[in-house]
Amino acid sequence: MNPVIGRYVPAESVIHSLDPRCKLVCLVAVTSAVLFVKGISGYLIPGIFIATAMVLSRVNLLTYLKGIKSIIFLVIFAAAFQYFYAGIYGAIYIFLRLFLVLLAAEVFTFTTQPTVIAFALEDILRVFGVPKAKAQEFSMIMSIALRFAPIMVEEAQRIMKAQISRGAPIDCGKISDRIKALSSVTIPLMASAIRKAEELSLAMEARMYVPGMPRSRYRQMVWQLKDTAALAAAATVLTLTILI
Amino acid sequence: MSRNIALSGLFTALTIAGAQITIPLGPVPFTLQLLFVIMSGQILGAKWGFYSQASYVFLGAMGLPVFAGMKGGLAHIIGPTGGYILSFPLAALISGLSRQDFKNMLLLSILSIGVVYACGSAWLTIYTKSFVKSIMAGVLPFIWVDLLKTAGASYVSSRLLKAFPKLLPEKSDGSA
Repeated sequence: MNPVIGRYVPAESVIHSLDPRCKLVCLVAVTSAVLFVKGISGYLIPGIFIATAMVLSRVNLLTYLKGIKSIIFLVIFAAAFQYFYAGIYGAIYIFLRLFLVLLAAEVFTFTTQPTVIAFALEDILRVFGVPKAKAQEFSMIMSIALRFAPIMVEEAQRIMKAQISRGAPIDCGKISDRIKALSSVTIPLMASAIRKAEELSLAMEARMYVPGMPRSRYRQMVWQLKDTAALAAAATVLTLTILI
Repeated sequence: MSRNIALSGLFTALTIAGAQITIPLGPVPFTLQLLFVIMSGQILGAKWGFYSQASYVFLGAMGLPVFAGMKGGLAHIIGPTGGYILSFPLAALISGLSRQDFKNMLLLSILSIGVVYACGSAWLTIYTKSFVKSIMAGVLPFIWVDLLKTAGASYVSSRLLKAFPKLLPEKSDGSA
């Protein structure tokens, strides 16, 4: 239960230095390409693209596997389930689909910092015609969410263990008892979230955060030639997969 | 204002966390996700609950592994269960329409679960080609647990709103 999100792996590589907006669009393109694949051999094209990105990212390949260790069981389960409907061919097909989508998401999250992801999302929202102030609010919500998601998972597990050690029947006993015991987890979890939000908003206001006011960025995103190249490669992968 | 943004972000984070935490409860895996979807509406109000869940859907659509089982990507929104995910912002909006007392909150949250089921089943029907089959697969195994979730959410929210009265908008502010 280690969320991959927000786990940035610092390194000096071409992939790290790409414009986050470019990486985001590439991710959407390649994920859709994987979705369009019809036969097993069709996975070769997006597969090569993702593998190249993984090697270029200079992140240890083992780290990629470790990142999806906790869900690989689920992937295998889905594949085994498919085996009964469509045989071994269907099982491999569904395994590769999930595996490649996960790896593609990892390349993005390993090489891009969460705050930068939120800024990239903000720019993408603007492209879709969302007004600037609204887009900035959304990007603030999303960057807070990305930052706090691992913390909230940890917090939930901590509270759950604490309540179990006090005798709350969460993992045993009658179903009606377990549901009652669940409120002994959700109430402290919510209260802690509300308190964190309170502190956070005070900190934001102390730093002159005013929603709807024009804000500048510490790091400017610059679109370079290599971004265009990466985007062209991703677009080629998508068109080739749809055409084949 | 900035408190609403911070709270929305934390509720998005809670929804992400809720999708990862499964509780062994009989044959159906029980996640806290839907509970947080409803509560985000109840605690934040319709508007900010909607924003919070919309950013959840958006983060997932962009390929971040925020959905149940740490999945993410457009594939899951287009996929058979995408209708459920897409209905989350709407569900938060509906359950946040009134935050007066427990009874109102319970009724609205049951209504919002109904909307989740309707959107989800309609979407699933594109794949199964049969609405009855979709209801059998997507609604019947979950309905009892989900109804209990609405009761749980309304109970917890009504108590939290009493404990943190600052969360409710002041009379002049019509943002509820």
